[in-house]
Amino acid sequence: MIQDILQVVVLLIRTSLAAVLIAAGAAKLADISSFATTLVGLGLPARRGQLLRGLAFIIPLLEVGLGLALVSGLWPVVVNSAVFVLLGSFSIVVIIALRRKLHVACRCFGTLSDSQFSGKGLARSLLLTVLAGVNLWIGITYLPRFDGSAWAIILLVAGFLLFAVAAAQAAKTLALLKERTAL
Amino acid sequence: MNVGFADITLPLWLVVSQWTLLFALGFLIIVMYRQVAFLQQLHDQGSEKEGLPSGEKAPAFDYNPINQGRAAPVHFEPRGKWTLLVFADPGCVSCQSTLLALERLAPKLEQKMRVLVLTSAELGEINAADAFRTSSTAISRVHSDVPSRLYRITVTPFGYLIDPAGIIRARDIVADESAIQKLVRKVDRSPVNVEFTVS
Repeated sequence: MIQDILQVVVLLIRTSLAAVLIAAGAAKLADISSFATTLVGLGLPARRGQLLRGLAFIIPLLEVGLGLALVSGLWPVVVNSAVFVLLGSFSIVVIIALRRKLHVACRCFGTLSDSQFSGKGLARSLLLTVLAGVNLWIGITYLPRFDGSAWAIILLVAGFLLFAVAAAQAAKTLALLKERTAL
Repeated sequence: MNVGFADITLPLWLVVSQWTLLFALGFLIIVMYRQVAFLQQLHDQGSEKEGLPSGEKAPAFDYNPINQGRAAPVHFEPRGKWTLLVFADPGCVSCQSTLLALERLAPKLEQKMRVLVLTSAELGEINAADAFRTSSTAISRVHSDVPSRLYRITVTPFGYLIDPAGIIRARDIVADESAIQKLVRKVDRSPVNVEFTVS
């Protein structure tokens, strides 16, 4: 019984984290230039344009990739650890931004959100890190098994990939609307 | 562990994952509608409620010129000549278009008025925006935290046309070239179209 409950908890955490990572990554990929501006605002040298553009592309790509890997259930320990490290790093960045009192748009979800680095954003980031930690811990301790046919997994990943496209398109549409309303 | 629906049996992980995906999609739609509603509200309100009203005295302030190292603060005196004051932010896409439009209009504008582009953004953010980095002699890009509060700026790019007496003659969102031209056209229509020296 406990195993069943744990299995459901792990699944819920894993797929929720995947959805958040995929939405955030896809929305950032749709508006790389403004995410690059956020990176500069956080202290990255603006003169190193290639490094900046590279990071602004790689970080969201990593988010989408890890999100899809989480859903697929492949290499659970490696993927769960990577997700924990990534989300932990985001939390550290938010803490640094808050301590330095930087007035920089967060762009954590691209144009899907307008928020600046704030206490609320830090709470959200810490919650996600804790969830990633719990997911990693349960994954290592109990090793829940998710057996299924390869086709079912491929279809599920395709569904989440479609979700990534929808999030990116939503972010693009909002960016266009914001431009027209002159925000 | 499997879950049964009528005569179909599905693995639990698939059911949970699919429902989470469905909820995530629903949440995305809600977020999208919220943002669209917010933008629609702003659009309906227009720019009427933004900033200081026309006819009011333009406040003076101190600023730091951008691209000139650590130059001493310069005092902005609204009186003396026609001024186009544009509040912009390196993070907003429209502001970059506005700056490019200002560059194109610069030869015409410099004959009639001084143009000041103001931002309160961090220096790092300013340096990252190409439109802010390029410098034209006709358009001064300046940095200051104070004016956006004095001029009650909540959206960017926002422009004020100030006459030689230091009075705001027009103000509006200036997201493109036509909006800038519409604002600037008031110079020709205004009875205060001669420059005077501040004593």
